[in-house]
Amino acid sequence: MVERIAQNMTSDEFSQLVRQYERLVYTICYQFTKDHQLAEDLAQETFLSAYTHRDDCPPGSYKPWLARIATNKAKDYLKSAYHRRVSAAEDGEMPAVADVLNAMPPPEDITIAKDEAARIRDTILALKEPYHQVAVLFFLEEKSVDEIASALRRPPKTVHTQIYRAKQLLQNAIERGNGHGIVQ
Amino acid sequence: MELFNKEGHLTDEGLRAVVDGTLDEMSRLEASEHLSFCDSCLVRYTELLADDTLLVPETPLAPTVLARVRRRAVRVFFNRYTRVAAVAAFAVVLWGTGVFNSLVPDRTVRQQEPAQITAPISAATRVNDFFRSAGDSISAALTNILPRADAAPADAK
Repeated sequence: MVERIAQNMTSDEFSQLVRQYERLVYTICYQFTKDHQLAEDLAQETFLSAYTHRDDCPPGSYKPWLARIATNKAKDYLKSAYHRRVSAAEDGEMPAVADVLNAMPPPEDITIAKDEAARIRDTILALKEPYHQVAVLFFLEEKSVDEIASALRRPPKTVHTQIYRAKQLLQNAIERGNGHGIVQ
Repeated sequence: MELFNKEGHLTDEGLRAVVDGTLDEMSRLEASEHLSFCDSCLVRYTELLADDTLLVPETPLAPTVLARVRRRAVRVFFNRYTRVAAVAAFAVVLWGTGVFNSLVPDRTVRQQEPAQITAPISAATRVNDFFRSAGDSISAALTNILPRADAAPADAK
């Protein structure tokens, strides 16, 4: 019956929707956060967002629609936790990615030995997904974020994030002096 | 274990690892980022979430969610009607000052002097008269509301 509920959902119908899918949404949130309390909070946020945007749900597609909102909530949480951790590390002993990249002389001012250039290229090519295609297009083919997003059918924001992380992986490899450790 | 294949999609073993909870935090972030935009991987993932594998939250979500929905609805309702009430109150105050008098036809004048309105009045004249009388009314109302510039302050007396 819930699948037939379209727009103009009443309070009772929404309540029924929550009851039907709360286990699914809670499980998804838990599988990504590994924390029961956090999973409950994110599951509540998922249903609040679902209620706010209930008119956007394709008829009869509540399961994938709620699963997408739940994974988005989990992603937002993990992302902010990751940024907090990275920022804390950068405030401490680790140099900021941007600082290291900015400290490097511009390409036209330096002459990289052929074997060194080849090594960096190999390092980029050795990156695994989800960074490989993004890094190749960005660093080697010099495509813009929008072009990469269009080519790979990924949101520009996600491409931005993946480029940032690819830079970190490359930076770590360059600092270590070898590219083998960056392969995840 | 490969989380992504060469096309950038989640592998079967990667999705199984999500369900089994064996991924580290970075891998979970990467997987959730991918599922947030990839329809085909999301369908494959939800297919793994069979009813008998789903977890039950410690406390049912529906009562809390519905309470939060109601609180939000009440807040929206009051925000909206507070604005409407403020506009209505302002309109009443303006009405009291006589600003709208020019918009109401003066029936007594028309009934007493019907013979005077014989010549056709052009539309431009009507519009000019309307704005002139409205301007006079607003000026009069502002004079009543605002303190006069040449009036001595009350505490100076």
